Order: sequence, then structure tokens, then C-alpha cells
Amino acid sequence: MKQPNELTKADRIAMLGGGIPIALGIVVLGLINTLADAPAAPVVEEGTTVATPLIPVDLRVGLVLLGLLVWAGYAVYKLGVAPTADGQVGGAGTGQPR
Amino acid sequence: MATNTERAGADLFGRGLALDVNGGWGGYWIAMLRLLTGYWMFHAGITKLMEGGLMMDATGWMQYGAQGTLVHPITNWFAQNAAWLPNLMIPMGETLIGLGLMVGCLTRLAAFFGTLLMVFFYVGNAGFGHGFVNSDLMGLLLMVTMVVFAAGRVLGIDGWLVNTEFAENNAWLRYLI
Repeated sequence: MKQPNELTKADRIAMLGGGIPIALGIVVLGLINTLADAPAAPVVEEGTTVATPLIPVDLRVGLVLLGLLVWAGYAVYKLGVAPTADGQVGGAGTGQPR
Repeated sequence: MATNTERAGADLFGRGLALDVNGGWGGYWIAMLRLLTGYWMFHAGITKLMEGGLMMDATGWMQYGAQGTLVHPITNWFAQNAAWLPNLMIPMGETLIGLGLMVGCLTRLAAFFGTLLMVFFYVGNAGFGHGFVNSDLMGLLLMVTMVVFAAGRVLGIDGWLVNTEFAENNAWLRYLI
């Protein structure tokens, strides 16, 4: 049976709300930090901080965590989505039976 | 960027398959994996280039780090006879593989070389100190995933390349993108 594959508002929120912070935290800010020749996290030698990142590592990790939480929220939401009368679940998927 | 339509409706060992990467979560996830895998590899390469210039010194790993592993005869030969090749290819290869994956250009070609690189890193694990199933194997599997799904055709330059007349007339090129 063909599955519906239109993006719902929830799909879009999860795709963009999850993907953008993760891509920003890992790739965009990572590229800026890397090209500035800065370490990803503070480098401590003998108790002294000898190098610090240009982009605070907590900010980058926080963005990744935010994206993961959005995806997790979407997963929980999908668990509660009731199927229609013909047994279909709306929204985008992967082509696998739902 | 172009989004290519790919639908694999097939039969595998007698069971139907319907993996849809056309605009849904399948395509989204393939593009996300490609971007992050690409950045991982690009970062590994560009930092080596920024620290050590075009040539890194991998002879220590090739001669001693991989000692006792199945790839040691190959790495040792290169260390003693043509060290310049891996010393150049590791940082340059990682950077170019990463770039190709991030923008989705010649993705299968990039991921093929990524797989080759990861095979050496994985098989060259002396003692498997981080376990037999380790991050090198995971990286290898990600590279193979990029090849299998032609990941650059989803939200990547390959999605446009594959529809060019040149690609349509040259089947060999479609294997690389």
C-alpha cells in the first residue's frame, strides 16, 4: 500500500528545528573555529589554560543537544499520532510500512 | 539545490522493499549524514594541512603503529619506499573527501576513497585498543552508506550533475556521483 509522503508542519519543524542547530553547531561553527586555528575545547596544561576555542564548546554542544531534543520530541509526537480510518499515518516517512 | 528523485522499490531475498528518499525523512537523513560525515573528514584533513603543510609524517604509524596488523606489509612498504604518497594523500585526501561529501559533489568517488582510507585505519588498529567494533569501523560504514545511497543526489551538487546531458550519456560517470 502506498504511504502518504507529504511533509506536515510537524515534519518541517522537526527537520529544520533539529537539523539547523546541529548543522550550525557542528559544521558552521566548527568551520569557523577550525579556520581560526582554535582548539575545539580549552587546552589545559599543568592547571593552566594555554589555548581556548574561538567558539565556546558549550555553545556548540548545546546546539547539538537542542537539535537532538527537537528530534526526540518529534519521535514522541509521532508515537501519539492516531492513524486515519484506513490505517495510514500522515506525514513524511522513509517508505517503510507505518 | 536540486533534489533528485530516487525510489528503490525492489525485492531483497524474497521480501519487498520500499525505501523512499524522495523528500521525506529518508532523503533528509541521508543528506544530514553526508553533511556531518563530510565535516568530520574535512576537519581531520584541514587541521593536518594547517598544522603541518601539504605533507604530514605518517611513517611512524605506517612502520610501527600498524605493526602486526594485516595492512602492515603494505604500510611498511610505503613507509620505506614511497612515504611521500601517503604523507600527501592522507591530509589532502581527507580534505577533498570531506569537501566532496559536504557539498555533495562526486560523492560516490569521494566516499569510495573515504572507504579505502577507513579500511586502512580500521584494519591497521594494532591490538584494537578501542574494541573490535570501534569508531574507525563506524566511519567506514558511514562511507559505504554514502556510496550505496548516492548521497550527493539528495540536496547536493550531484542532484544537478546526474541530470546533465554529459552524465546521461556516460554511464561510468553516474557510478561516481
